[in-house]
Amino acid sequence: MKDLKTNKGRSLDRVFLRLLFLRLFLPTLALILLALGVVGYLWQRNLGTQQLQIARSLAHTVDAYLDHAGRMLNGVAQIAETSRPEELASYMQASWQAYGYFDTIYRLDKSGFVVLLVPLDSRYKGLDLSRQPYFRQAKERTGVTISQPFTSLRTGKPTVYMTRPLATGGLMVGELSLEALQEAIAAAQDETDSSFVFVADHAGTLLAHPQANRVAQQTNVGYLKIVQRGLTDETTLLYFTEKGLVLGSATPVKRSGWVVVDQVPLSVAFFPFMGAVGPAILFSLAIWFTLVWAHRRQFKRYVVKPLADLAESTTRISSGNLDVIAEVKQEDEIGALAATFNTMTQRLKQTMEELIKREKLSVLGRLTAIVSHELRNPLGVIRSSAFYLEDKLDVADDKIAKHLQRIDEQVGLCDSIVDELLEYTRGRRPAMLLGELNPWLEEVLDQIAIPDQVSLVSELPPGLPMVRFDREKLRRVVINLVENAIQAVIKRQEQQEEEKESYHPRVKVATTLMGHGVGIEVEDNGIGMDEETVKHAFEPLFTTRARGTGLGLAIVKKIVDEHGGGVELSSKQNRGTKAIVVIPIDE
Amino acid sequence: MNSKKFISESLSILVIVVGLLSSMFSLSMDGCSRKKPIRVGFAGELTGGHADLGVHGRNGAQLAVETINAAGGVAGRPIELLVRDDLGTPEGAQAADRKLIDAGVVAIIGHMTSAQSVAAMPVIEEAGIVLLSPTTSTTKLAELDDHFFRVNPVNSTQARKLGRHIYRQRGLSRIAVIYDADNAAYTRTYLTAFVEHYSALGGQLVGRMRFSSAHDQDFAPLVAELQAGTPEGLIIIASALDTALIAQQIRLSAWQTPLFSSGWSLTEALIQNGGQAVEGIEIVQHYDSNSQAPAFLDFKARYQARFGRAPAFAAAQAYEAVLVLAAALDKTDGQAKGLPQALQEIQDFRGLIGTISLDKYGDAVRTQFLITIRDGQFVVQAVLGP
Repeated sequence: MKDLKTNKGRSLDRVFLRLLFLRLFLPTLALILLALGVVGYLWQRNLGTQQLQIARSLAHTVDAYLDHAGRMLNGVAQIAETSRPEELASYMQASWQAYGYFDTIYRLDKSGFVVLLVPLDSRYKGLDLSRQPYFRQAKERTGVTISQPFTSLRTGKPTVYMTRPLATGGLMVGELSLEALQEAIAAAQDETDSSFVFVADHAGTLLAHPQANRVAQQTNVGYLKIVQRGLTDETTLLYFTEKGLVLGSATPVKRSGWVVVDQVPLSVAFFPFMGAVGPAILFSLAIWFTLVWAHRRQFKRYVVKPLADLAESTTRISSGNLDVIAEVKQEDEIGALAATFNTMTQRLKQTMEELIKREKLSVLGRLTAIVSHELRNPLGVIRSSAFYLEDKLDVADDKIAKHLQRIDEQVGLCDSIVDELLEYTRGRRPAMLLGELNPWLEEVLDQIAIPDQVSLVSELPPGLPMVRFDREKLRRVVINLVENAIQAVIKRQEQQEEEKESYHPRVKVATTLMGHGVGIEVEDNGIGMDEETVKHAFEPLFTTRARGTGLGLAIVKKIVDEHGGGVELSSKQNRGTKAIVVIPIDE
Repeated sequence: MNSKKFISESLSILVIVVGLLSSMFSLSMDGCSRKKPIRVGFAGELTGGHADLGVHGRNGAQLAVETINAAGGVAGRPIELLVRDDLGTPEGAQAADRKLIDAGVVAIIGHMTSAQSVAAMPVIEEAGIVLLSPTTSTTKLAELDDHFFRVNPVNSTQARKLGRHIYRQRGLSRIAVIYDADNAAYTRTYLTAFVEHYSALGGQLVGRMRFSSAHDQDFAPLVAELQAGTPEGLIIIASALDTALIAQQIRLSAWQTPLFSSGWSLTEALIQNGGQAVEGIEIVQHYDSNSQAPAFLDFKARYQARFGRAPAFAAAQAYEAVLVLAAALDKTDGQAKGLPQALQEIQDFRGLIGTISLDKYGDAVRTQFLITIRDGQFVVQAVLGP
């Protein structure tokens, strides 16, 4: 039994859980992840655009820086073209000090020799710088040109040269201060900006970097794709550095062939995102858990358990216990199922009882029929032998006559018992004939042996309608009822004699018109019956007497039913009994 | 029982989701957890006037590491190059090496100048890791069973060859020298070897001047003094920048004299800063920048494309040093243990220009060239043999 319950519980439960999981949770999770993915992607795109803006603006800063430096150099060059050397010296010195763009400014003559250098240092005067790579290039161009990074002769620091050919011959050279460039970039950055900006030349050598020593060491980052691509086009890329995953945006600085790269570590930017996402996912998981748990309990209570209980009831019934009633606790389909179940069980019980009764009766009937029939013959033989003896023997002997008489009576009794049994079990079909009850009833009453002390009264009013009845069968009915009445009054008489009371036993037989039928009443003032006895009076094999088949009233009922009528008994103990048989009027 | 299953099912979902989240986290945190890289250190002078050697060396080493990693790394693992500036001072060298050792490097490529290599050795020996120098040539570290290795021959070879050339080929028997005392491990050993051989041949050292590159030097008085000694020629044992400035000063002083220099100065800085003053200067070095060897041409082209300028000997040798180290690391499966042994076994290693063999002390032997500057270019004048 336990197994059955658990089995059902597990499989339904499993179905429920699987349903919830597959149809509810997974899709929800997938949806959440999808949403996250979309949001994450859009956010990253947005971040990329943002970073590119920053890179652009910083490239602009670098460009502006170079532009201003170039203009300054141009200004100095123009002075050099127009003024005298002494004036130039002071002007160059003043300019060099005023603007921070250049670490060193010097003027070279046609052959590349240093004419003048600021900050003023006589050791450099006359130095041959014709082999500096920019020199040949610069002479061929007009306007300000920017060189690739070199190590400065004077400062030993990496620098970029700006050169401007002079109309009067020679070159004005400015060694750009990369530190000033870095400062300009740092100044242009927003304080809240967590990104990391560096500038590299076309070979990837760093020109500006938050860590100044990396520029000083001429560190090369040309291996970075962002640098390679950023030198020609604006680029945004996700890549790994030693600090982790970063989003880099690069913009070329067209003027000098440099690239400005702006990196933002994703972990930093991710944190707030994750900070929202993580809890969101955990929260939704928690909700799912709670939902599932709560629903599962409900499901168990309202579906699983009732079904399991019903299953158990069914098992009990199948093992024979038909009194099992399923509890109807709820009003839904399961409740309806339980109610139907109960109805079915009741019907089943009734059917079973009826079947048993019928079976009993059937068996009984067959048995009785066989026995009765077998008895008939021997009884006939006894009777004929008695008759013969009666005839041949001396009837003057009272004793012999008495005994013969006794044999006759007893055989007659056996006969009537057998008749009764046969009537009850086999009973031929009633032969209904229309007729008047009263005259027939008079005849029947005349033939009944009434003991002397019992007075039989009959009330047979004329004018009763005719009815259809089987004379033989109905005769038996009357006989049975009257004999019962006689028995009853005799019993009472015995009782009354004991109590020394006077008593007049009386049996009354009357006919009367009753509604749609004619009633035959048999009334006595005999010993009567109690309620229980009345209830079971018509049941076959029921008797209150020591002797008798108990079939008397059952036969009465049977015959009356065959006539389409009804029989009723009413009785009061120690007062009397009244039996009414109603035969329907023939319409 | 069904509740247990339910719990385990949902727990596994939780684990999956948490796993996803945390992997996203860690992915955004540090780099991909690929195979653990082999850390190799580089130490050289990266800032200051003499940084040309260090920067070239670092660039060459970087290119070599990138090349090796592109080909799959060593023993299936990539090499990670950690770079530190030794500032061109002994203290800087020791500090740089300590930092690299603390970072867990299996070996250090460096230093680029002899003074720093010598200064670093105590730290190196204490840590028991290999110092493989691309350019250190001091005899002070020669023939020592230690953790010092180099792909550069000792400078005594060059010094002797220069001595022979000056005396025999140039026929100069009175020579003066000016040298940078700050890198005495190189300059003094060079001078000693030179004088030994030159004197034995019959030459005479008539002038000897030292200066300190760390201090801002005015070469004019030094040159004047040297000139006063009327030598037939002048050897400058100094960095490229200092050699160039001294040469410029000599020219400014209108002193016409044959100039010679040590291998230390053989970078483009000499030409760029020397101008006309260094035209015709002669140097003995084992580096032929015009070599047509295919491996070298390939290296030159890649270096130029990568860094925007032509490689100096320091770059090529650093490149080779990394290749030699990688070959040795392959034998030791990326471990520092057994590296000295593995390096000593390097024989006839294909370098960029010729072959490299390390003797049992880790010293190398190479072919030497006589190089001069003509029209602003390095030109090999003669091959002098190993």
